[in-house]
Amino acid sequence: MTDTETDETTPAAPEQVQQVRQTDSELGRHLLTARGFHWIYGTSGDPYALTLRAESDDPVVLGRRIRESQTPLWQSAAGAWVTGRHSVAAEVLADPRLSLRHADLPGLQRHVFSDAWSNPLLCHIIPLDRAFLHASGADHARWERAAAPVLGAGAADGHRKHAERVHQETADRLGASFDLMADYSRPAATEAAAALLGVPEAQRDRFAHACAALRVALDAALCPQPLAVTRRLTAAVEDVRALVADLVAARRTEPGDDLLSTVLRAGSGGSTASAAEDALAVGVLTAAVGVEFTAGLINNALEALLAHPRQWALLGESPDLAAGAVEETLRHAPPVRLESRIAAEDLTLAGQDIPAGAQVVAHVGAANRDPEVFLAPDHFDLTRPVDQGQLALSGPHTSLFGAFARLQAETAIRTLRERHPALAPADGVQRRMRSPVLGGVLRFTLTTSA
Amino acid sequence: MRVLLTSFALDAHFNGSVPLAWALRAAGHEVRVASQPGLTGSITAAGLTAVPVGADPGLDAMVKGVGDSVLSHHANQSLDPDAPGQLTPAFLKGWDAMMTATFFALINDDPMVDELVAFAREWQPDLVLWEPFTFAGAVAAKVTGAAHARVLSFPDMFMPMRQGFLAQLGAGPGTGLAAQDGEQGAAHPEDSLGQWLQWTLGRYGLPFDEEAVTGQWSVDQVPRSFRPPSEVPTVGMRYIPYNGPVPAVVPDWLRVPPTRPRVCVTLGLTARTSEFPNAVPVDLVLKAIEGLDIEVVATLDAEERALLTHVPDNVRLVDHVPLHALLPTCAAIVHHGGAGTWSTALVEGVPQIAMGWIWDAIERARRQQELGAGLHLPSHEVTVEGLRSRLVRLLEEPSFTEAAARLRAEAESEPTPAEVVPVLERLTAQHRAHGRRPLGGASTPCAS
Repeated sequence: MTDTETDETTPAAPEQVQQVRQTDSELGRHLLTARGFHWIYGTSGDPYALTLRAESDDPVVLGRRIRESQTPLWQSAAGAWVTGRHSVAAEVLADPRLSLRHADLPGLQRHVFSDAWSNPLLCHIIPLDRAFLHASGADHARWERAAAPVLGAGAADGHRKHAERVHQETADRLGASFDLMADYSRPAATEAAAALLGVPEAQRDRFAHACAALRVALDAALCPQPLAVTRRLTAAVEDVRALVADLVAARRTEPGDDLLSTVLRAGSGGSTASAAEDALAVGVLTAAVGVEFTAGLINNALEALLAHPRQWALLGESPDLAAGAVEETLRHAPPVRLESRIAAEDLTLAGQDIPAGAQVVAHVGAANRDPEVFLAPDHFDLTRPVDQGQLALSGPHTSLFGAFARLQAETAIRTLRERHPALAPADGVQRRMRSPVLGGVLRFTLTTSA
Repeated sequence: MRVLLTSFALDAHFNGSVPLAWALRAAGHEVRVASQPGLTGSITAAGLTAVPVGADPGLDAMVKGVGDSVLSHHANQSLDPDAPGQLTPAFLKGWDAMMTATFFALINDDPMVDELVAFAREWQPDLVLWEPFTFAGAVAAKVTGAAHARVLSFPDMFMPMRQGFLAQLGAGPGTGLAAQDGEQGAAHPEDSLGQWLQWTLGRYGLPFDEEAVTGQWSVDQVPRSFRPPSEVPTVGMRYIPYNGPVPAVVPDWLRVPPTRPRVCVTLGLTARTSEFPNAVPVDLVLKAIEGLDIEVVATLDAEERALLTHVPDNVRLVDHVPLHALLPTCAAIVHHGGAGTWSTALVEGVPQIAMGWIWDAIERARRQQELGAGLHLPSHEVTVEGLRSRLVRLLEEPSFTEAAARLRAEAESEPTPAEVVPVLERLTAQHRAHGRRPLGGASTPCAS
């Protein structure tokens, strides 16, 4: 710990979690060492280490190996206890003793490699507390309740008209050949998120710029990003905090029906400061998680549908199947594949004794293809019966933005299917290296005419 | 002129630059040798002037913690252009990521680089000569405007791999994955070594360029047959054996010629003093030579002797004997594959059985065998019969001795360190930043 850090003593108390100022050498070396470890642990073929390495190995194949490991929950060379079994993953995701943060580390979730070669801690590669990504279960529950009137499943229909307009406008701007991520998914998701928060026109570019840099946030916690990417990420966290904080301040005097005002209203019984901090948290998470999660869901849905022309055709006949297509995408190719937790106390899970402080990882992507639960799990089928227990929205981040992302993806599919029935991939999907959690798309070129 | 020589603190990597340091000193140049404090004794034992910089980088803890994994990544890799599946993009990427994290950035940690730069700023060297992994030397040279070059005392595997790695990064994605956008004029975001040098140079306000990896030229002490193509000029130099800081004393028995063919068995010195493991099954080695009509000199310390179940009659056990004194009396050598032993045997024209198992040792042994001057037998494949039959071939088939003699002649055709000094003076004048004091050295009058 350096002297520039202070500890967060009260959860959600404003401005308690300070930034850490590190030189390029200090931060760079830390990222380099963590990256070295992922390579080192992968040399033995450990499928979780190879997943974190996030190189050319097929993540689905690695997920299968994680799931098919002899013990349902097993300890990777990288330290984490890992599962790809549906039953165990569901247990992990539901267990309140498994948290995003260390129970005995009140401030930043930051680990310095002091005794690196024998015992590196790879559960929080960089602290993303400033982006509210390592919050407690209690904080998340409160945020989700407060945001429910806007982000909850019941509120989705109220956003549909706006979503349709955003998606139609975005689709109308597309040329004969376009990049799904850069020209459609991210702009539409960003626009929808900006509307949720009530970001004024004049700040939309700034907001979009920050969201683009925040795209690696969920990956950066588990997989070291290059130094420049990490610097852009942490700068964007600060910028989006400032932007959202200004919006929150404005809504306190002039409330509206946007997400931030809604969260402020929900917290009006408590202190003003904590209500404002809650609104800040939900706003920052919208940029740091909501946008990329939504864009990822759109990308993954389109990738699957275009790879299955008969299902694409079926969608043309029955546009209402868009909801099923999104649901099946959440199962088949969840936009958040890995959920990482820390045991708050000694506990027994799937027959294994897990000590307090240990990392437990649920591989949602693998669990969602567990043949114990899903018939022909590798097959994408938009007519598959729903409610079979896919886990893509069972984490605190994915749960908060689940309804929002669903609506956006459903609208995207309907809109693109309707406007561009001859949509086809010009080339394969290019995904980012070092993106084990999101499998973030860098490029996916599509053509609109056959 | 002022020459700053630097090597991280490991004898095996420092020894190879000692004769050149002597030559520079004898020609009247100022020479300082900078390394972590752990090498101070070795530097002064070589008669040179030490500048301790940084602290113990903890190489042993790294080797103990993750050495096996790092080495296993490098298993079965070779520069052999005919071998299939070599130097794949995935291998090269892991090599870059692992070696930078566990080795390059460790032995050149921030305190070491900072103190070396501080010394260079104060002392203002004209030339920095650096051991090929001691990139701190390149940084110090760039900060102070000194000329700088790598000094190679074993075949350069690093540079062909670096070039292959960069070519693969430049070739762009092909697997459905791509690197995130880099920045103009900066190291590639997936180039760990370049990234690390970039922020290290950045501490002194300097940009990264590949010269920090390659040096402005190389002084290469291996015969041409072992040199990979180079993108920077190479100054060839004859390898003059300097076998390290253990006192070199010629024992009585070595002053009389052997009556039977003499074979040296050695495991080198590095395994004795570091965590780098000895993988050679030494008991099998001695069993293999039992009964042969030869005299064996085995340099084994107490710990290595403890691995023996039986010492055959034809074996003389010694703790240490200077190899450059012993090898001229030998008909063959059986060794662990280390660079110093390999080079010394090569310039003495002695056929070798190298039991190398670490990647660079494998490559040296492979090429040696290809050139007919020895045989490679990886330590994990050693059997009594296998080793014995190879040794018998080495002793009975004249082709091995002839090939070893050819390589010796090739080594001897290179200029000696003393002859290389004027070349370094010229290159230094050409490469160091302008507007500095005139180069001193041999022709500089004393300022008394």
